[in-house]
Amino acid sequence: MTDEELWGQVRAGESEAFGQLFERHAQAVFAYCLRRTGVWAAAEDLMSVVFMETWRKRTSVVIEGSLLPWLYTVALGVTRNHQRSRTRYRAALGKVPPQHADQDHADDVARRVDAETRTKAVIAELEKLPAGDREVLEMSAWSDLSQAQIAQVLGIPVGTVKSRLARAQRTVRGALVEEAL
Amino acid sequence: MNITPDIPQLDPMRLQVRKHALLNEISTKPSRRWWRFAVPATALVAAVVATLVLWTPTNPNAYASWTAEPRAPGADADAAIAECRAMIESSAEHGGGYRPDWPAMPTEVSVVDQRGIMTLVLFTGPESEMQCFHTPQGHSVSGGGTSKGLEPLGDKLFGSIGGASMSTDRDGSNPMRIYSGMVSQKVGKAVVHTEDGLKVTATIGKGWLLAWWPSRGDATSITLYDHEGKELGTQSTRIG
Repeated sequence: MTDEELWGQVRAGESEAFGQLFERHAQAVFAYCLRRTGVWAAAEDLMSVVFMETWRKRTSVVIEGSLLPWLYTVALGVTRNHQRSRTRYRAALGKVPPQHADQDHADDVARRVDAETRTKAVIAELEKLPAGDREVLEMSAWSDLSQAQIAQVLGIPVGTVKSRLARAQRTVRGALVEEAL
Repeated sequence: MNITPDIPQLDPMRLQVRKHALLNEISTKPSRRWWRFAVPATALVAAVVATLVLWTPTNPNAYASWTAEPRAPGADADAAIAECRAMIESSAEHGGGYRPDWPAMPTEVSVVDQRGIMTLVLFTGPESEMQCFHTPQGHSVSGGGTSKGLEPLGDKLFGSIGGASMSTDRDGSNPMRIYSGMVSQKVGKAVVHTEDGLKVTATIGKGWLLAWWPSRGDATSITLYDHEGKELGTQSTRIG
């Protein structure tokens, strides 16, 4: 079943369909949030917030094709307002059962720490960019969205996406691997 | 260094836990965000106490006296602004101790929207914005750091910040929507259209607009007019 078909069910209030969309896109949203925040636990929470907010807006959102562009739109907003979002959703996030210590094996912890370390190093480089340029570059590098979709997500013209991307690439070239750009 | 650092897959069990928590959450009744109305967003104890004393969440008078057109600024506006400013400054003083990374509180009064007995004041700043709800019965503030990183409008006529937020009383009664956004200097008047058929004239000031209405109906579109009353166009307020 396509995202559009599932979303039609979600708009009618079917939570199971929303669960399927969650399973389909949770990893992509989590990865985006982790790359934006550099903190594993925060990224997990923000991922949940993105889906909660998407559910809340279900009656007013129409999607064409994939739900991902919309999820990235929401993810961009909640990562921008990380602190505020945590306050708003604290009660709901508090209901997520904590991870048991006996499941938290050393390998898993090391895997998380490595991911956070890698991500924070990239964030440190990207923070040298103006916010607008940075968001375009991040969306371009971390999602499969086209430039037209990125323009839609960020609410700016496609030409602006292109010019910001070019400027951002010039700025970070050398510090970050070019082929990834 | 690669700009796209590898992100490990989430543990499948953990993902399922998150999924079930999400489905449980959305299957419950919608959260009652009366606290947005009654409690400053900074969640400061001092402000909370002051707010709860001054403001009874249920405020049927403000609800009943609402009008689709804002009234002309009254003599009561200055006193309302002063009381709102004092509450925000108090929040700022206490906020630093709790949240060192909380954005600087806004100080600029951009819009004063008055309908019936309610005075709604929009404070803006480079890092945050706050709305203050003021009636003769009391006042409260709500807001956050959405202005941080906000881009100028450029050639656009209007840009919303996150759509229309909703608040209700503790028991879910008296729902209200609050709508704010940045607006071009070319715009002299703006009318917000809602799902339930309301046409609400927003108050405009210093590049911002502000409106509220007493229903759950979300904003669907906004019609913009220039200073001579000529229609500039209608744009959807829906995102996506």
